[in-house]
Amino acid sequence: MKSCILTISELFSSGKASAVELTKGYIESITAKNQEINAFISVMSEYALRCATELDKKRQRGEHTGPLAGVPFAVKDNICLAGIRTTCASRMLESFIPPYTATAVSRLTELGAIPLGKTNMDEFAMGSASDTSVFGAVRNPLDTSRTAGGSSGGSAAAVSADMCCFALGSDTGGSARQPSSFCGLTAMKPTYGSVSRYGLIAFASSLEQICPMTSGVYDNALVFDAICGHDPHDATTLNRNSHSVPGTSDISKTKIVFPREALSMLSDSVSQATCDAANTLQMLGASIIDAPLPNIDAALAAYYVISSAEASSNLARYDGIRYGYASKSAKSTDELFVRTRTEGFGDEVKKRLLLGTLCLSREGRDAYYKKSLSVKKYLLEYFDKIFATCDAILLPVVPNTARQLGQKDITSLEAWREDAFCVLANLTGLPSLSVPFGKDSNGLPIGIQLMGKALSEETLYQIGIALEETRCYND
Amino acid sequence: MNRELTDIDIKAIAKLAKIDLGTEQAERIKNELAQFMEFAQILSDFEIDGLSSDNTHGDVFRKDTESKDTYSSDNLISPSRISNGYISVPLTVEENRE
Repeated sequence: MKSCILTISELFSSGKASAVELTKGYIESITAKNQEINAFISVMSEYALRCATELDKKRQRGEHTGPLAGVPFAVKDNICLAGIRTTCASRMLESFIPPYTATAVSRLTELGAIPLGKTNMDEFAMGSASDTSVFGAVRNPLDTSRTAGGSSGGSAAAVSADMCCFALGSDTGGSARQPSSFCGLTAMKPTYGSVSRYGLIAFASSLEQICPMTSGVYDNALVFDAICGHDPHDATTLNRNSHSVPGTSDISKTKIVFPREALSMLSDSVSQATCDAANTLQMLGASIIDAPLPNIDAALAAYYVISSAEASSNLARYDGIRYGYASKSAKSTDELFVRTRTEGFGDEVKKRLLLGTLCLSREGRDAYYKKSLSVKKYLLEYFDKIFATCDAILLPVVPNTARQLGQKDITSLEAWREDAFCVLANLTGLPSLSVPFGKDSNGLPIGIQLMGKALSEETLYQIGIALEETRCYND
Repeated sequence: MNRELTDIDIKAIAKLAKIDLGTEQAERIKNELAQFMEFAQILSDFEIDGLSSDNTHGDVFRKDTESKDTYSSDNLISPSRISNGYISVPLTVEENRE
């Protein structure tokens, strides 16, 4: 079992290393690698060392320091930390300093984890290559000519390059699972409402969740348990238990659906790895059941309609008056709105805001938005039927491995279509765990995802650990 | 499905979104959106089931069981008063009447 968290917390609690030493080690790693990888937008060296010093003093006084004591982590730059610049990788928020801290981050720091910095991402989490950032593209540490994925590409690259022990990302349509797949990591998109969105800068509120991104499955469960649960600041949070670390990796009684028709939509290497995962699960005792795929083209269309519609509403607040960037050249209030938004938003964000506005127009509302809500209902019914008799569904994360950065021979619709398998979990609010499984001929990691019924994170982690133990990947 | 939506008046949509687009940018985004809208015609296979403008909010978000009297002007709380430099917010309709 790979566990960066257990290794570090053991070093700290046994007194073999101080929190300051551990933190300094990671800051040195960031200093050495970040110029090339571009994973971090802000590195909080002073802040992190201050937290570490406090932790060391606490330990010297014999006080309880928490189960994540001394474990350094990174935070995607759309998740707020009081007093720390939070940019969403956009010119619109390039100097925004939030007055409050996201609940997910507070829960980790209360347990002794040390925030090291804010990670690069696609602007306002809109993208799948972390190349729409105003701070430049993130490079994949496993092959720096390739994308780290997105939108949580900085978080994935930071963990993959050992610049932090784990990271928080966010997932609106695969934004944590896809970069984790490209960088050989594990990510959990939890059941909607499991993790508070308080302090997560909104993109599409009905779809997104904050997600743990880690090098192994066990660590992921530890972080998920730390951040999940009811929060009075977020009315959509669930009052659920937070014990998802599985006691066993025995999956002999597990029933897993594997829609084989998905294989025809994948590159050869991803298709082979997904088949291998199904065979491995069967070898471990799970029953593998074939079933038809839901209509994933309709799901993809519905996802882009709903997420863009919600974005056009959520991002209406950026008008140059309340906070964020304000155009200096405007001569009237109307001109201030238009110039601020024109100068502050990048191309991809503008495109989605226009799509959202179009879908919410009088003509678009019936033809696209309401139809998309019907697709959501259809998907819920499909998964209800699947999970009435089965425990999980095995799918690829994306049809291919990491692309070359700046690849021009792909249209925006083709890029969007790569999200098709991921958006299912966001539209239905169901949990989905992505784990690395196999590599392509270039040695790039391949990810598979396991979707489960609502609140079944523990089962998904159990299956994930069973797969991890076979060590079929990273070898 | 409304075919006209694939022939997008991008300038009008941009005006609604309070964004100014240059000619080249407008043309590029218009083409990309048209491509997506063409793809999204697949949504026409789905019926709008149980969702109409009359019942969307009542059925999906909350049952509208409150009496219409709730919204009578007699029962609405009037704007807050300012006393001693603080805004005084009445907590109940009765308190507001006092």
